[in-house]
Amino acid sequence: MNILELRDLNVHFNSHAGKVHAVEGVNLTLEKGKILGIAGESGCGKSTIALSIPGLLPDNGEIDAGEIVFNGENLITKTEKEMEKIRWKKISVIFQGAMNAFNPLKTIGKQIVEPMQLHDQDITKKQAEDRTKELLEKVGIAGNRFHSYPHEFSGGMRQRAMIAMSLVCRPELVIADEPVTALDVMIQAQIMELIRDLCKEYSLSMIIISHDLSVLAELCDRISIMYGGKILEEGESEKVFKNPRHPYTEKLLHSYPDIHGDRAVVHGIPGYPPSLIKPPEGCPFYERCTKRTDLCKNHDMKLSETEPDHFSACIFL
Amino acid sequence: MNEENKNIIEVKDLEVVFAVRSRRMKNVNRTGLLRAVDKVTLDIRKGETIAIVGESGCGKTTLGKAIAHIVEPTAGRIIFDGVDLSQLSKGQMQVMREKIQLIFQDPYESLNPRQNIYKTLMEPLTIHRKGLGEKEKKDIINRYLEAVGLHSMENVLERYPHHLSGGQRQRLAIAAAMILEPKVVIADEPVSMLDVSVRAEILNLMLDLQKQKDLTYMFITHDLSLAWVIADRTAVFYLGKMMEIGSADVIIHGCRHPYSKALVSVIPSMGAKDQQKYVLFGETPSPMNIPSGCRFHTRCWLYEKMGRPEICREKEPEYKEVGEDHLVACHFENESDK
Repeated sequence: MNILELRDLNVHFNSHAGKVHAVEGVNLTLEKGKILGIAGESGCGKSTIALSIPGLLPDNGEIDAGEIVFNGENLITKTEKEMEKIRWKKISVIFQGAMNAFNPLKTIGKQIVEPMQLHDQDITKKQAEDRTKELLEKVGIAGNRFHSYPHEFSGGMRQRAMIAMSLVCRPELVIADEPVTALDVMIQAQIMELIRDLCKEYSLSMIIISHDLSVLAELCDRISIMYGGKILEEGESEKVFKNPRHPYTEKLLHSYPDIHGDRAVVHGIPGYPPSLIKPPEGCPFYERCTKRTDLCKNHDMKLSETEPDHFSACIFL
Repeated sequence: MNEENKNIIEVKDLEVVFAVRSRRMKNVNRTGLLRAVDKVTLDIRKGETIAIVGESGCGKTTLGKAIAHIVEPTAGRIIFDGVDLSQLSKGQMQVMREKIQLIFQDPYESLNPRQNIYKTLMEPLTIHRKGLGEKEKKDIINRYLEAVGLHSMENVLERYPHHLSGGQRQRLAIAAAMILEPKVVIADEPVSMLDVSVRAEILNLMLDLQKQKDLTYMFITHDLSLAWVIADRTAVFYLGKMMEIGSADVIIHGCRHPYSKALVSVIPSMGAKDQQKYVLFGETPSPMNIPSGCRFHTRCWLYEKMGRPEICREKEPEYKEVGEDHLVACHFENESDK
């Protein structure tokens, strides 16, 4: 069963330079209990998707078209009041750099209790505290740190606390934007292990957004590669990583050293991503692609199946 | 010693200790000592790239700064090309400084936002190349802009850092570091702030310049796989101490120290999903309170597996040579593969 489906999603931002087409014609599905990864470089639209799903786009952002279907209901048609009931309780978000977003003047415990009290009026103070302590223990923080202030926690601990907070109202879907970026390697490994365990234990569905393909390769069941606001390749993560079928994915994979592969200096991708104010016709990767032909300029960027459960938008499959 | 193996830098028993005042409790002013670099002995060979890897707080950045003499060492010696830097006067050190240059992690903060490219590159020349005329200095600047691939930009000299992208800024920082023709460049996480597709270009640029100018690099990074592709040798640091040093390939595929093994095992990889991981619990202890004996024993998986032998708590391990150019500081390095 699919817990989430994005259908032909288009999102734009109004800026003084013009309309920024951040997300265009994006289709995604997430099966219940699975982890979906969205990968891409800065400005590819991946964080915009993370904001659109729980209806948290900033004032200058707007969904032009498409549907966001969560448990069979289209979230786009919901009012703000209705969305408030879905956020935290059904869908929670761990924002990029959120570990630095704790209020320095309040204890960690108090801040975690807050969403619980807001969303469940019946819960007593004692119950909320107990649940918070239980969750802190789950993410590897001693329950008695409930009364600690954020500055008494290290970066890794704050990120754990943030993960505990996202689970406090027992959501079905957690969206995490760069959950391990800016953490030390060992802490990164700890957090990744934690995410895997929590997903199993609470049968969570998750969307993980990251620029780091190797992190996604370890965590995700499915992966979508985004570029210039569009999805270029999508599928079961093992298939996409083992047998990439879009030149951009291939190039991106070669930008990382892989200690199980050849010890060669990695290759970059010369050039810059396209402007999203005047997005190019056809394939957005055209300018930087080494396999391009004139046909690519008129390509409609529909994803086609290259093998079971593996799709690519490249015209030369 | 033949010419090829000559060391350009010899670090001997280097210590950097900071005095820290703890104000945690209102009326108590306790002073503590933070051992950032603890008795490090390390040779850097002419023309090589040596990677210094470890988690934050392992002292890798302080080591780099001490070698560049931005941070004064507390004890020990740094010998550069046969000259003991601690014996030099201020004036002599000033001359020496141009031979060792630094590239920092964050090109958004390491460049002065109020200096345009011309001023950024002219400053080192004004200080260190007083003899040169204006024309000659400008020629040098143009040559280096070309070397780092910024020359084709329109009005490049008048541009300010905020006109440049992250990659372009790092190119400018590289030009500024190279313009005095140093012998050694210490690069502290030079690509960790950049997008992946840009990273490779900057690395390749650095490697090209190294070949052209016969440079020695000290590459400080937390990323072991990056160290693997770029470096000749890798040194693994933990809490201010070097735990293992060996060829970059040996550190990835044949390391012997349980800490190195743990670090390598957690490198996220697209290839081997089911490989055994040694995820260490907890976090690095405070460098103000370094554990006794082997400083790693509080988190060591091998210590647990061996039934917590006393020697690990009591005695600091000596370096053992376990292969060519391969040193390990562990009492039980023989057991780490079993």
